[in-house]
Amino acid sequence: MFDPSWQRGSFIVSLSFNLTVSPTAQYNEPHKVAEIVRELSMRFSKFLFFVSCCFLLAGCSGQKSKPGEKTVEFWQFWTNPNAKAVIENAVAEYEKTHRGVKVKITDLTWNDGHQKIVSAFAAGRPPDLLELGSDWIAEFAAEGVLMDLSAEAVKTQDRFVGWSAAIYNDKCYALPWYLGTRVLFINRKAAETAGLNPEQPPITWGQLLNWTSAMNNFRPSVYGFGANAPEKHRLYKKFLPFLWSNGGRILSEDGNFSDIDSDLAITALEYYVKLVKESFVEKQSVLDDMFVQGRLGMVFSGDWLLKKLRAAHAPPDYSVALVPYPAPGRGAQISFAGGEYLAIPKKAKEPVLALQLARSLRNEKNSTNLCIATGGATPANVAAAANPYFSEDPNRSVFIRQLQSSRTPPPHRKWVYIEQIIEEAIEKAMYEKLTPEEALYEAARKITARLRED
Amino acid sequence: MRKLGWAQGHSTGTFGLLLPWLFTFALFWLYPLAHSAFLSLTDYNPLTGAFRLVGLRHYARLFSDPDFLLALKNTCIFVIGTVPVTTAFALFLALGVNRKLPLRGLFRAGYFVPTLTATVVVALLFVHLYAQGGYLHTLASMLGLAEADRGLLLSEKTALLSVMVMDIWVSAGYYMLLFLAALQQVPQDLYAQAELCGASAWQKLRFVTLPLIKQITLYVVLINTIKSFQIFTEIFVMTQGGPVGATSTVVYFVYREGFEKFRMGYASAGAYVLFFVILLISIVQARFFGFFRRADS
Amino acid sequence: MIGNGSHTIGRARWPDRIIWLGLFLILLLMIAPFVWMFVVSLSREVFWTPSGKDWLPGGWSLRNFGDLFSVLPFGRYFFNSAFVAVAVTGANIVFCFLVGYAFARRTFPLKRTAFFSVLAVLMVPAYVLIIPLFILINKLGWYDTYLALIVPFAVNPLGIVLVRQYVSGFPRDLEYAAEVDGAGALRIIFGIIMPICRPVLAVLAIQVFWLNWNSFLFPFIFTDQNVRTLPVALAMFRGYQAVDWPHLFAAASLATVPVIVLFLFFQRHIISGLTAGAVKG
Repeated sequence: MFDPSWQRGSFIVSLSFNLTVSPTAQYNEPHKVAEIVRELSMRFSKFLFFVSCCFLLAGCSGQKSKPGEKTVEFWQFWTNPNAKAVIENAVAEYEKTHRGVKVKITDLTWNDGHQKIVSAFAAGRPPDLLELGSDWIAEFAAEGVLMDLSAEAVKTQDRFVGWSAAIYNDKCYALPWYLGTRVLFINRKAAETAGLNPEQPPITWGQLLNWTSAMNNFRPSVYGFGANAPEKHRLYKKFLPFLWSNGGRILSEDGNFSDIDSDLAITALEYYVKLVKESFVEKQSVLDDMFVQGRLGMVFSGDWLLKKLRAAHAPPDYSVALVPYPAPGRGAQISFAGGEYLAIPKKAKEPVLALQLARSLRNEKNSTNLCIATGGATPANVAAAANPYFSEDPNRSVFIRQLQSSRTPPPHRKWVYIEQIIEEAIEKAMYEKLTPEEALYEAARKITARLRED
Repeated sequence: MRKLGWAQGHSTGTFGLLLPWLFTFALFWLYPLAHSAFLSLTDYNPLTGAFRLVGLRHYARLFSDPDFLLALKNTCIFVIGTVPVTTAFALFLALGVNRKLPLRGLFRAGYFVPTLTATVVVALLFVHLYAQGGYLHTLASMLGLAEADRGLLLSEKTALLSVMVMDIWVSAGYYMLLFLAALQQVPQDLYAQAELCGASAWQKLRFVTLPLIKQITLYVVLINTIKSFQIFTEIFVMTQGGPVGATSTVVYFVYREGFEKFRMGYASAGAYVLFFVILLISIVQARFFGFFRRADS
Repeated sequence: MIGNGSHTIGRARWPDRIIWLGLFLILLLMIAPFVWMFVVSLSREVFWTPSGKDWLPGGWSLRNFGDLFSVLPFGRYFFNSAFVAVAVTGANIVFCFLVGYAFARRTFPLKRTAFFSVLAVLMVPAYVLIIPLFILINKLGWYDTYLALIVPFAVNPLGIVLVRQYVSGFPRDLEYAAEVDGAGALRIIFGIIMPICRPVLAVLAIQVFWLNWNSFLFPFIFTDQNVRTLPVALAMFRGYQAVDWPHLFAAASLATVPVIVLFLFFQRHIISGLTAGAVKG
């Protein structure tokens, strides 16, 4: 439990060899050194303390609730300053209309948010309102820690889309808030240089591959397609569109075993591996950067990239297109959909207030503002989506169209593990450790085993 | 008249003096060590609270678990690859800095800077440099050492090697200081004598310098080995176990099993195996080191 | 004669020059990545080679540093790191001194075993204990509190070894004399021995502070948002939605500055401690 770099401490030991050689003779010398050192260290600690106080004050945004006030604890993932500002505005409005109520916002990150939420439930101290990723809802619903919001869902059914991920065992456990899907981004200039017509984007897998090869001629300044490197919670989202478009699926109808080793699925993975072989492979943030700098011809990405492009110094001329069909007249253009949902834990202390806060966060104004702040294109609120901000922009309208034919992963309480297994399989196939067939066969076996395990 | 003999080691208050250590040792080391051993014999899942004694099953499973074996293999490669190189490089730097060359102080400080910064910072920096399009990757692919289409950390062949190079780059400065301290303890008369005998620079190095710093060299090797076996932070930040496990290490394996898959019993077993490996190697090396010391006096 | 190394002035310069050049190149290699980090932290967009003409797209900007405080509670992380490091250092100075003194001057049963325990903790990799320690911290209710980051690290075994070694080198006359003068035990320990141990305690303080500031694994396992320290915050940074390299490197630069400052302040003393032994007949 002592820092493993204790070898650095050996530095001290070696120093001691020198310092202890003849201690009596060094009474005077070390004293001088020590005096200076001690004074400096005192001064330094004071300096450090002062500096950190400044930082603390700068970063401090403490809110203490007075007695008699009710506090609603809200855990959320929007840490981007513009988005956070929208949330804070919404919260401020809510507090104005609900006197005596204070909302305490806690920020989470995707890296460890899941763990935090699990720990909170395990400790019996969950927040009042919780933002959940779409693929986590089933897991918590299955554990019975979420409140049944079916009544609210039925009431507002037509005003929102994206309910499928929130339904578990025929009950609704979360409210859709901010959705996202993945589309194909195309660098128009790169396409034109390669002799391709950006007005007619690739609509089949074959065309996608052709475009990639054509633009690859301009390597290394431009790569045709950017594929995702193995990255947790991201890799599978890039493969699933291919799987689903080809008619494959992850779980069987009854959800008891995995169907991911079907021929349709294998074909999809074989194609994906072929595509990846021709692509520039890196992690998502690098892919986004590269596209923004005009060095990628095409990439699958989400609406956050729109925002990045807007903020960029010299963005390329780009357009977006729907996910391609497997082949002319075969399959569909199904993309991955995910999103943020709002859920209320059963053990919430202020469930009624939490629900009201949720309603406020999901209303038309705040949904639109949130999307504008994040560059998002697909709010769950139907009225918000009808806002000209979305329909007038050609890129955003593609997002909305794609959302209509997008799918969320099957709500299953063990989804987190299923996802891990799928990502492992894709990784192994990408790196040619296994053939796509072997990889999917192994994945199906592991998933089924995991489903049976308890 | 006060009772004399207090200064002779009378034990009044000794327990009080030792208390901080006894407390820390018992609560934060001995108890967890025992608990870890116990856990490794159970099937404990903190989420569900399930708890079941399974005996030595975990240990048996570990040695047929390809993930664990791969992690063990990678860790060994890492140790064998970095320890000799870092030691040699650090010695080389120390010898260089030991000379009366201009700007010595600058060199000394400069070589130490990488070691000074947090591992996390260095790791993030290198993720950037090793990514496809980053400077080091471009350099490496020009030299033909890297695939042009894959970042250094994303290619199985180069991922572990890249992490090793980074580790050498970081640690060399630190060990250099240790060697420097030892080099400066070498009495100058020996050099003078050697020169009188007509020894060349290389001979002086070989017969005067090296034998006298053998002790510190073995010490450096020992601590470097122990540290290298436990590599975690770099892996966590840079590769998360790497492309198809090419950079997974034992501690990362323990972390994954314990904190991501919540199989704490299994993870504890893995941790204990590592503990025994390191203990064994430490004892072997220490005996070699201690053995040498006895022969010296 | 103060001699360092095997050359005396007047020898052939040639090999020296080549060696110097080599050392200089290596120095550049060592420093270059950090320079790059600072450069990126000051730029708007990071660029990936080869990108041709424009090597700093978007130009310079200090905005990244400012953003840090609005995106993240960076001030809080900084404070946490500082607070914990200072607390652990302070605790170590006091406790290691007490325990080291006890080992050096006192006799008690099982003394050898006790000292062996100190060495054992040094040898055994701490990582082995993360799981049971995590469970223990949770049981004690210390998860995500300062206690978890301070108490287990308050007595570093290396400090004990060091103090013991140092104090053993002093004759016991000091204590005898003090006792004859009528001083009580506490006065002897704190009033006489501790000041003498200043050099070794100073070095210990520097080491512990530095180790603690940069430490990653245990703060990662033991904390959540409230008490998060800088290295953990940096590692988690990439999970945030707004992240890009300039911001990340700005955060990293800020996290590195205190250590470099510390080093610059105390470098001469650290190094002089190392070389003091050479200045002898």
